[in-house]
Amino acid sequence: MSIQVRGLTKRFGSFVALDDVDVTVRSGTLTALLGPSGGGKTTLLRVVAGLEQADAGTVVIDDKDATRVPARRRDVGFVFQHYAPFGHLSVARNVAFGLEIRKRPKAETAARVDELLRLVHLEAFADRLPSELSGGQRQRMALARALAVEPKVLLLDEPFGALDATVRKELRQWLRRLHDEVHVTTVFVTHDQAEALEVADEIVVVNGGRVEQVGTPDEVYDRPVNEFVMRFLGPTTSLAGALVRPHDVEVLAAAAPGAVEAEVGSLRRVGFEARLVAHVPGSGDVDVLGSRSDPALRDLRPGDRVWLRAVGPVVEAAPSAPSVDASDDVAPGDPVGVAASSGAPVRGGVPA
Amino acid sequence: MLRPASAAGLGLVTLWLSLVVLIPLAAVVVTGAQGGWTAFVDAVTSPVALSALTLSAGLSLAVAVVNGVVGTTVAWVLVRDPFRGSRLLDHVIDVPFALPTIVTGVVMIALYGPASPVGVDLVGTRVGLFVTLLFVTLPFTVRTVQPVLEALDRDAEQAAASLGASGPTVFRRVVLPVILPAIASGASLAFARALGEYGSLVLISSNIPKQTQVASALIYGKLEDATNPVTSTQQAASLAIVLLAVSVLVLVAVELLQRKGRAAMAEPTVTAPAGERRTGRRVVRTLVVAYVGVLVVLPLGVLVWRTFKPGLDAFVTAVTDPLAVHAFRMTAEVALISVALTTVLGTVAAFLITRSGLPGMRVLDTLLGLPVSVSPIVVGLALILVYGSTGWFGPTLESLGIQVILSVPGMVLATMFVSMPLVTRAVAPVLVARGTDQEQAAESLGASAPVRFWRITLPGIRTALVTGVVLALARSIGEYGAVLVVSGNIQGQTETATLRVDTLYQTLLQPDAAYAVTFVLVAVAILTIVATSLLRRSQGGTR
Ligand SMILES: Nc1ncnc2c1ncn2[C@@H]1O[C@H](COP(=O)(O)OP(=O)(O)OP(=O)(O)O)[C@@H](O)[C@H]1O
Ligand SMILES: [Mg+2]
Repeated sequence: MSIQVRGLTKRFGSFVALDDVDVTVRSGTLTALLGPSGGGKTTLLRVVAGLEQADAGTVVIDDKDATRVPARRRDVGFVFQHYAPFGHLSVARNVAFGLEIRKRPKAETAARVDELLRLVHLEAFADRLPSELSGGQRQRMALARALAVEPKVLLLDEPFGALDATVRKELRQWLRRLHDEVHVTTVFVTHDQAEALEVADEIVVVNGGRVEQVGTPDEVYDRPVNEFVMRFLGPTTSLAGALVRPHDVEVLAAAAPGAVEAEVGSLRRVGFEARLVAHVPGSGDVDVLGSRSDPALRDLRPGDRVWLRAVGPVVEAAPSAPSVDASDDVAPGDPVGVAASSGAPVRGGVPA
Repeated sequence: MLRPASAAGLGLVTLWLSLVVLIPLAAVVVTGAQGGWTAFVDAVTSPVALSALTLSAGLSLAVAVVNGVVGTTVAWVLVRDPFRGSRLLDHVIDVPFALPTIVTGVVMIALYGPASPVGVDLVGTRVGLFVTLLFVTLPFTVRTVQPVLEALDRDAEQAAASLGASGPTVFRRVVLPVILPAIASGASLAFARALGEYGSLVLISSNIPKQTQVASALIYGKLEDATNPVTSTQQAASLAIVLLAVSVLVLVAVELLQRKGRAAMAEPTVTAPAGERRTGRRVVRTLVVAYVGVLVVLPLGVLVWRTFKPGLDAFVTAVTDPLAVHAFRMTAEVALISVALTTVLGTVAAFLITRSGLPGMRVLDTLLGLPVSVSPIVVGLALILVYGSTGWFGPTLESLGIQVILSVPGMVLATMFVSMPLVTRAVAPVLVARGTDQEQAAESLGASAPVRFWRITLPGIRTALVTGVVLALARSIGEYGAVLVVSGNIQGQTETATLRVDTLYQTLLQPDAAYAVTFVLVAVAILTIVATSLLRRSQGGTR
């Protein structure tokens, strides 16, 4: 049950929340919509669910044009950011709601509700009211409620946003396992890159109402198409006018092709990591992240002379221009080559 | 998405508001202006009129000031100094709202009348009017200040104290600025209510021109004056214009004050009540309890005593008298019809105001609040000017065989006028607080609009809706002045329970029977308070 979104534009007054967005979600995948706050993730999800009408563009679900289909006929499961529990109904009645609307036989509904409550580990809470559940339990109830009607696709808006860090980590693993069990095409919104990288099959990076990049976690992490994606998916440092991840900076004891000369500023050990700050004359400080056992880092002292070279993805930094400009004529999925201005080697797809 | 439904709802609510409130009030203005500027000025500046207007205005101003101070103190004690019995105090505050005005009049007479058990006869005095108005307006400031105090961020006060401010300084510089808009809006509402008050004053005032005759009593007198009906109706309308203008001014002031108050309000924080300096608190608390006790509880106690003094048999005879039973039935009929209509239309209005996103909804909300501060006598006058046999629509309706004034439809209109905002004001905040998430979740699960309403929205607003209905019912059962004017108070026909109290006391001179019927109405009012309190608590429990 795939989702195809074509040329989607949504305005609120004169504000453009979605600007000509194209996204394809393949059947059976778990896809993350990742991006900063206000980027348009919720809006995109709500348009797909039919809870919001787009100004232009089409939404195709399961190869059928759903653009004009009202929300209640789209067969889309939607899990709201704050779960929207029906406060006056028990957990079981919440889960049964969609089935009752569809007038399924009572016995079938009861059996399905039992099955789902077991799936989300809430069988012991069937008769409680939502107000008597913890945040995580409420979240799972909302998920069971959305899954009960066997939707073609499942959409979740920041499913873990309202939970504390530990529960969040637990639940995202659980969502992954659940997805592997149920196999329903799932899209979830997050602004936490770790969450997206950890659970998703595909990541759609959304920013300023546009799609910046679509790809597997490895692709977006290792081959970011622009500075925005590069910065959003992990820490970066700037080496000779280019952006590079701190763990992708190689430290050499002698001059080498493409390497830049620098002076060691400080070296700190944090757990198993070694964090080096090196000063490149005329350009600034470079952060380097390595392992504590790395022989190249082990014996450095402040003031020592080293040569630094990028060994991972590098994106040309555009210090004054906003990141969106960098991707203006790059469509998602286009192959792009990026080079550091210093002439450092461009190597993509090499996890350090 | 609900465009056609919104349009239909808007049409319905506009029609309701127009037929019941706007057109009748317009008729007052038109009639008052018909005689030209000089006639208008003469009507409102004749010695009797001037005296009545200044008396009403002066009393109302005094009552508003006392109310601002006392009401704030009562609210403070309720919120900041909870003690055993403060819950009861909280409920007693509602009594003046729940009592029908004529019942309040009888209650006051029981204590301060010629047969006063404490030997204080205030009949025919301005002091009597003042005390009665204090009773009637007691809840206003308490109820506007209380929620603001509850929501007040106590951290700010503690911060001020840690910066060296003394208790009074903290109050003056941190608390007062925040609650001032609420105090002012409560006092303004009290002012408006006192200005148009009729029913509770009619017995104690003796209605002596130039001495104790208040504005609404003068208007009523003009309406009853049969010697030159056209002129006297016009004069009544002129006086009503003055009262209406003040009502509108107050309404606008309150609206502005509340907007300002909302902006100043912080998110409530949960802080344990500070327990320091108990003695000062105890003095204030005692004063508050004594004030409310003497003003509200004492007269009610005397009423109960007075009702049963002639014995239980006399009570039973009085309330089972055929004319009394007919009056109770009439009250039930009028109240049920008007509450049914108000419930449906008021709910529709609440949805329009909170959910439709249509322009002008703020104006609709404000207009719905207008009836609260219009004098009941002006309401009656307004309805007569439109639906009476010489009114705008009256002749047409009568040719169709529909008699509105002096019959049930007119009484229903009057009752709907005075209870108009109660359902809407109870439901709208809950709709806002709930948001639309649950409805959207239901929609994504396949629920159609009617199903969403019955299964999700209605259960969610049920408690608020029932609260609004109970309040509207109490108001409808208790309406006196407006119904008096439109019904003509025909014994055995259009006489309702509140009108029966009046007839028994003033016309038939049977005070014992009047006390008996009054007691029944007081019991109903107290039941209302208990019911809404239970509802409020159950709502707090499921949230
Ligand atoms: N109903 C609305 N009216 C006006 N503007 C809106 C509305 N809904 C969203 N917007 C605007 O559209 C933009 C995108 O909003 P959206 O909720 O899709 O962001 P988001 O990516 O989900 O952000 P977050 O991570 O903070 O939830 C925001 O700038 C927001 O202010
Ligand atoms: Mg969002």
